[in-house]
Amino acid sequence: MADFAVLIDSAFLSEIRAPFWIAVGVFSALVAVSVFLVIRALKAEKDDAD
Amino acid sequence: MEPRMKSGVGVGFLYAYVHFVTEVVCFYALNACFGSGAGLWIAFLIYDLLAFVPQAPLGYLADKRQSIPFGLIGLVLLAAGLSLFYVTSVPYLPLVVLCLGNCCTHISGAEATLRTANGKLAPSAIFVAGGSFGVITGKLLYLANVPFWALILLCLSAVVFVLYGDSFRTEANARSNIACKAFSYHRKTIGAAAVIVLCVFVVAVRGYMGYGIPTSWKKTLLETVLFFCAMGLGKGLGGVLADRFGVRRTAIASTVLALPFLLAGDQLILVSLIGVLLFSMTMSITLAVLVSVLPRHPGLAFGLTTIGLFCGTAPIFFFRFTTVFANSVLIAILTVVCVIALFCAIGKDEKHG
Repeated sequence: MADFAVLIDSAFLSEIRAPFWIAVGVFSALVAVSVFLVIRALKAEKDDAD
Repeated sequence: MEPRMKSGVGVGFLYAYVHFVTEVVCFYALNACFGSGAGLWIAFLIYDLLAFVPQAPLGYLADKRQSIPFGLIGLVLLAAGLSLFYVTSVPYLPLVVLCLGNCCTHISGAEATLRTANGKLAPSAIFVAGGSFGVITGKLLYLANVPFWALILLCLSAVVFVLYGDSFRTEANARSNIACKAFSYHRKTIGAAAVIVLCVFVVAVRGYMGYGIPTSWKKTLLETVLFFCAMGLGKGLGGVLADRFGVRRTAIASTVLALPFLLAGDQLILVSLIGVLLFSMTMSITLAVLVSVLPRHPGLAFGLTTIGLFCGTAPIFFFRFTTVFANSVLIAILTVVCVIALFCAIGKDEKHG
């Protein structure tokens, strides 16, 4: 018995294709913005501490 | 001026109710409006994505603009989202509104509980704990066929809690120009960026384990209720014990102790519940460590934990271990890595260590 199972098959993926790829795009954009904000915040924290 | 609530624990309870209401509304709507199959699958994925990930940018905005009433905006969006489900045939727009409402109330709660905490973990831990009870209550209310307008009333009831909680935040802001300067739990010998990466990793593992731990015993509704109650209690207790016994000691002890209970509890409900309670304890600790490296940005720090939670829960939508053994091995490995990460990220307990 396999230890590992993939829960979505190609038929299921085709059913949810559009919202799925929109979700991937939104996630990538939000993470990119968050990383930018963290870098900015860390710089501000360092500047204020100095 | 003498602060009315020095510890902020009261603010924690006020916002625990707001958090509870938020999750009740969201999980009621998810269960009521998306049925089952592909629709429910994508609805939960979108919900996790849009309720968790935008909290970092929104938190940053809240840090910079304290005058924006995120709590009230959140409650309005929750009520609007819930109402929209019943007037539109396309459920995704109301879902997005609901998620944004969820984000706003979370950020408001994080800002209020962290800014009034005076460096203590209990307020934010109590605030976070309220959500676990809300998740299961929302499902129960849906199963009990409670009408949706009753949930709107529930939203309205939280307005007073938000206004009262925010008044303490305003007082705390007036007392100090650095929002959370009393938080200092990170290890000073490693960089702030490394501390952030380690903490987000630990949160992601906890997010995965919340769904991935072996719980064959969880078959009935009552057992599911007990599972969520143990999770909520663990989150709250983690902050209280960390304040009492030290942050690093509590984080490492609870993570290590949770492992045998989780692995041995696949069929044993009580053993498993103790494990769930213990592994949930690091919730407020990772948040406090993140706030320690971002003391002027508590909202952003909270948002980073929710990104970690999404990263941990997202794989559950696509993959699953089919044997308890394989799952247990993964959990054991992840626990060891988490203990090392926590040890590296958290500084020595000053009061008790």
